[in-house]
Amino acid sequence: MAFVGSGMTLGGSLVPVSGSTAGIRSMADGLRAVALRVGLVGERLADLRGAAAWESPAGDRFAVALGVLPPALDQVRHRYLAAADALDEFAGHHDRAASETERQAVAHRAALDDVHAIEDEITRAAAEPGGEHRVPDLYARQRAAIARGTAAEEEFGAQWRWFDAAAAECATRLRAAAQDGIVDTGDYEALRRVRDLAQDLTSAFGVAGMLPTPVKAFSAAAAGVGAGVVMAADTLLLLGYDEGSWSALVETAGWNLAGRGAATMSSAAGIGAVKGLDGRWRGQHLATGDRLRQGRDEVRTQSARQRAALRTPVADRELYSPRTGGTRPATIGPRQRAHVRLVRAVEDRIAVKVAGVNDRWRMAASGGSNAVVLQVGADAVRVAAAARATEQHVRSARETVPAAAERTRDRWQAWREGDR
Amino acid sequence: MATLRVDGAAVAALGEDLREVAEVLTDLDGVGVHAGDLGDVSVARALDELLGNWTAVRVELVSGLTALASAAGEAGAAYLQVEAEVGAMFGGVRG
Repeated sequence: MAFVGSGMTLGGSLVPVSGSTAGIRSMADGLRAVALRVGLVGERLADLRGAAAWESPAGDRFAVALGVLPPALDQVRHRYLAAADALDEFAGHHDRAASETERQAVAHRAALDDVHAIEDEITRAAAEPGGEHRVPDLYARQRAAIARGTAAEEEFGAQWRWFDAAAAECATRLRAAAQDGIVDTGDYEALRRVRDLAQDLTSAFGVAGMLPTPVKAFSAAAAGVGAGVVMAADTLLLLGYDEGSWSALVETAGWNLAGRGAATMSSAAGIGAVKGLDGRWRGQHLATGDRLRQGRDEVRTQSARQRAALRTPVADRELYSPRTGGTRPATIGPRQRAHVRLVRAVEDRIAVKVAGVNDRWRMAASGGSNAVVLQVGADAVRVAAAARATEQHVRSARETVPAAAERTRDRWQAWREGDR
Repeated sequence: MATLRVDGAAVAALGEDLREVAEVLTDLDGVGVHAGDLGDVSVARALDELLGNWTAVRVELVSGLTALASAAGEAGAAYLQVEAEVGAMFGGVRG
């Protein structure tokens, strides 16, 4: 609420400069520690190139191998030292601006509280008999409080402007330090961004594709497309920038193909199986070749459905319940719904997936021994793929969560203490 | 005829240094900068750019340094072992 008195205004509460001076200094120390470490290794490498420590044919070969490395260590050292210097200076400015703006915010808050209290007092004085004579003095006190608040606001604004200028200068220094000879090319940066984005989207769509919502089919299909984009980007990174390895790429491609093979085998195992009215599966004895052929056709049909899902992201919403974004009308009363919810809570956790697996196995069992062998193969591949995917997700999460930053900070801290 | 003048311990120590720098460069990949920590968005963005706009060289360095660290570590250890064993042949103390 703005407060107006004697031509002066007093605004709402003031927000001081945020952030942590200690945190900025810690980051500067960390950058400096990295620079020192890199510099030390650079010096050792230079000694080694001069054959002071390793004069032999093997040492010569090692020196040649060193020569192949990009001469970037010195540039890394310069870059990080420049950043550490800029941040150190900025930390000093931040310290002053944070404490000053905090002080002015406190003074402003106190002035505002005074103004409100005096306002209440004026109201009471005006209402009580004989209190009018106090009102002029109260108004004078209120004007003084407003003046204190206005002075705090002006000083606060000046401190913020000074801090903004200091931040802009620091950012300029950092950007200048970041424009050296080791900057990524535009093509490389774009490729990495596409790859990272596709990776994130693939994970998100993969999860969405497992939930029973109107966008389930689209999400599953989009996850497949995303995996293809990641694979293509990885291939380009390897071909163009020698990043990654062919073995890892071939392994990923193999797992993608294995997943498709498992789908074909699983479909082949269930070909010809029909569920009777008594709930039992009745199958046909078919040759393995025929099973695989028909299974492949079924998978192709599913792929066609997935492609269609990509064109129409939202499936028929009438098939899904309102709680998952659908519009399927309720057909039972509240009491029955409560009962159904209870049953579903159990089903959702245990029965659905187990029943699905059992159906697959019953279909295969009704089709003969060759169908069972195909189902065993499909499940084995799926279990292995799931285990690998889980391990990758966990590893990826471990690498990307802020704990990585924390770990690095700890390492920097340890070095800093070691360097003293 | 090959002439050898090798400080095995220095070569092994070099391997350790190279590995450590490779690990640091690897860890830099996960370091993110939050504007809230620094108190200013423009500084956070500039620092983010400084830390993250040299990925290609960093990855190349990590790969090269890791391979060389492994080679230097093994070579240093081998030199020390050979020196100790050859010394022992002539009546020295086997280290």
